[in-house]
Amino acid sequence: MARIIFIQNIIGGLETGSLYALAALGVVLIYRVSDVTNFAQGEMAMFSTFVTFTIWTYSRAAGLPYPYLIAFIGALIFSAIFGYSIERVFIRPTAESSLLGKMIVTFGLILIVNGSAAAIFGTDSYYMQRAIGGTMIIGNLVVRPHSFFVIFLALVIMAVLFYMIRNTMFGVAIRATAQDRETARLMGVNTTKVTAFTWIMATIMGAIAGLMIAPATNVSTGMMADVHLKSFIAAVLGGFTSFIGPVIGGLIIGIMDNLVGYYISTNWQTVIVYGILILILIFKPYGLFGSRPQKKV
Amino acid sequence: MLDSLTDSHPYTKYIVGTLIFMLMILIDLQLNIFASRTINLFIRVVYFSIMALGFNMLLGFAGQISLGHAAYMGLGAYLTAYFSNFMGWNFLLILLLSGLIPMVLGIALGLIALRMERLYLAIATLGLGVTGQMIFQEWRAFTRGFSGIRLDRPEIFGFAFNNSRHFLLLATAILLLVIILTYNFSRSRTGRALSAMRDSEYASQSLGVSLFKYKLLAFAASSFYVGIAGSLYAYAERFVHPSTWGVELSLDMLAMVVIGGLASIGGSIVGAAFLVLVPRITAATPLLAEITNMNYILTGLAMILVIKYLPLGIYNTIDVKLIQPYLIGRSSKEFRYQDLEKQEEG
Amino acid sequence: MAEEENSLPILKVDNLTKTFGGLVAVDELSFSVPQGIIYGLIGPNGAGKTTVFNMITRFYKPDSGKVLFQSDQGEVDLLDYRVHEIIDLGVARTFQNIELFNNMTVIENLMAGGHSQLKTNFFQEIFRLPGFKAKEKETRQQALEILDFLGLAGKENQPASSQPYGVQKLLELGRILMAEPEIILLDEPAAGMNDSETNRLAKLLQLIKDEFDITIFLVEHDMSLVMDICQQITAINFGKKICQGSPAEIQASEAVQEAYLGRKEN
Repeated sequence: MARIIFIQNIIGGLETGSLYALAALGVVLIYRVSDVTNFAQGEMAMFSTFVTFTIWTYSRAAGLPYPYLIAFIGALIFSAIFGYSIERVFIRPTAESSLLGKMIVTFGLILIVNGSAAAIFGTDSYYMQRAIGGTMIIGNLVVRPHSFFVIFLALVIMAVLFYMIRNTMFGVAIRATAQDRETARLMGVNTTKVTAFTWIMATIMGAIAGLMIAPATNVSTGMMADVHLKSFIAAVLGGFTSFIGPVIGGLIIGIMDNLVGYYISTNWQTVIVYGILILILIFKPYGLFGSRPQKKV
Repeated sequence: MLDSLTDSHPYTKYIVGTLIFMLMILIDLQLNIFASRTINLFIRVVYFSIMALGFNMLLGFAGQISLGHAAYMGLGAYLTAYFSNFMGWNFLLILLLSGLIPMVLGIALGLIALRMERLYLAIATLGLGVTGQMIFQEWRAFTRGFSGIRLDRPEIFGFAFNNSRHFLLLATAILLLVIILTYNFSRSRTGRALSAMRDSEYASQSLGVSLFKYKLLAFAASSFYVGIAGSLYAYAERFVHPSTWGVELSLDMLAMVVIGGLASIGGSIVGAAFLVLVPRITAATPLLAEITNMNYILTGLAMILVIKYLPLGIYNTIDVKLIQPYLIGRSSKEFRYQDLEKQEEG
Repeated sequence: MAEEENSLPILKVDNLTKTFGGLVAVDELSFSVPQGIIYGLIGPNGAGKTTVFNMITRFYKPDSGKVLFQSDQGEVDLLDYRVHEIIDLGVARTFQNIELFNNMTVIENLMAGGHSQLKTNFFQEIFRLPGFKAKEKETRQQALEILDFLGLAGKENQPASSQPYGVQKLLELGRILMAEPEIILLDEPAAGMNDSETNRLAKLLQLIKDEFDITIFLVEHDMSLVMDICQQITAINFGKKICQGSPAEIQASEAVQEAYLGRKEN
């Protein structure tokens, strides 16, 4: 019996872990390409989720078929536009600021996006359904199809992204920009397009993460706060200097989070996970897969 | 650092400004011109100024980041509540302890910070702030958790500061002392070492600045200040609750120094005033008051606009563009804050 | 007394080795720098000069070897000291990518250079005690004198970041002079300079050597500067010493020509 619970926890951990991985990958993608750490990622995901939720509610009220699917597609479209707009309106004009300045712009975004969400959608919390409802029984395990869907979806998205980065010309453009933006630009890479793309991608991934986690957290202005922090912890754990790091970091944090939550305490979950991170950082200050960024003295 | 451009009697303006303000309040004691709410507003600006000064020490002067500093302020507030209610110690002792104990924790944080790059440090401190708030919620024996903890006004040598105007005068006097000491400290070998460390870790090391020592110093000093601010908060509001000490407050600290001006004493005060006044102004303006959390949106916008158009912060920009040329009598070149992390460029 | 001191090299690099991953960057390198001269370390790109430089100044840790230095306290091995400790022994350096303190004024930069010389404590500082004020004044005076020496009088309150490149290079020099060093190590001091600026730099360095009685060690690409003012030179390639001697000897060396120009056969 204990083993069954353990496996179920692992599956749950993989589920949340894939979402952390998605979110963390988004953050690192933006960071590597444009030197901006999007601290507002969580709030943007929350905002997208609210929009998705609204579409879902209206579709259901209007009696449309497959309201969830409509909402899902709506999520993709909205978050793409949202990500592009934010990049265009707030990030591009401040691209010349110092690294600290760029960080601060995203802090300002947190306030703006969160404030706007509260203003537009209110401060209540709402129930959102799972992608696939119900439970199923595999052997001795009781699992939700939703969990597998989430893991599958995340894997597909990341697989597509990684394939693109590795095997297409645009992927080369992304890698070039990530490695050395100035030189890439001088060599003809359209770094502006690359940057816009990463913001769109990251916002979409964030929106999907939000949508998939909404059943567990309910839709509210504070829904992404914990997920957001954990996805940052995942990115730090995996290291910001690679693309695979945050993915592995996300999965590890997801599993750890679930195990700690179940076996130790749900109250102190975040704190303990964070504490483990600090311990790891003391020995590996650049994360598990990160490396010291090269700097000429 | 801008204030050094006027070298003689550098903090006259602060002393004069403060004395005028205190005079105004003394008069108000007799005439009651200001509403109670206004006095409370002033008190908020005063303790937030001390908080902003502390954060500015860390970010503006030393170039280190912390997104969890609200935890230190909360600690200072809770310590004050605890000591005041259960120990009945004297005000000054409580005030100092409320600064010293967070300072010790700040040193612990500094020890961890030494190994991390700014980005990782930012995230790690974010987690620290969340942890701190969690502890305030759960450690009921010390903080009474969600019920919050109440306390009385301070008493010094039998004089109870019951009238909030009296408390405002006391708080302002403390702020002035903090300003003077900070000013002296920043115009000294230590202050230069911190700024050198901020501007170039490599060069400062080669000149004898031990990064270890000075980063620790920056964390220690800033958490000391912030702890004191927390103590004044506790005495001012007379109620301490965990919900205050979250990420929002840590971000507010950041907003204050960015909007007001990095590495600037005047900037810290301007920033604090800005953040205290914006919610009041939006609440009082008919159109804006309708929109929930409008003050969040405005503050966020202000931060971004400042970064883009007034990167020095409001106070510094006014200082450089208007005041300095007038005082020096010759055109001083525009003093733009350069890349604060040249060493992080690839 | 003076003759005895002059016979001992002020800096003796002894079998210094550094490997990065599989690559041997510096290979059992040894050379001695006599006191009171201008000494040059040259070599083509990638020869390992910067690595050597950074090991001497403690920014890198060598795999093996010693760096012996004649300080006030006798002979010490610099490798026993940390980056921020060598300035107290009298070893100062500049940076290839000028590391000025960009958010400080010119005079603040220089006064920061005096960090190792000025010994005020925290208590004196926050209460602005008379002892502190006197020392600050002294440091400031010293800074003004150095600015004057460098021909930069009048610039003290200007932002360091807005100075032209040439002035910024001079400021870096001024900054380390504040520390009253015994030896200064310059990392490509002529980088980005045209001929006339390089000539002025050459004269300035000789003046500094004479006025301040400092040994100057430079790593440089610009052969004209090196040949002009260096009294002794070590040339390296692939982390190994290929020649050592006077400028004339270096110029005549086949090994050096080969390193820079390739074999005659090719």
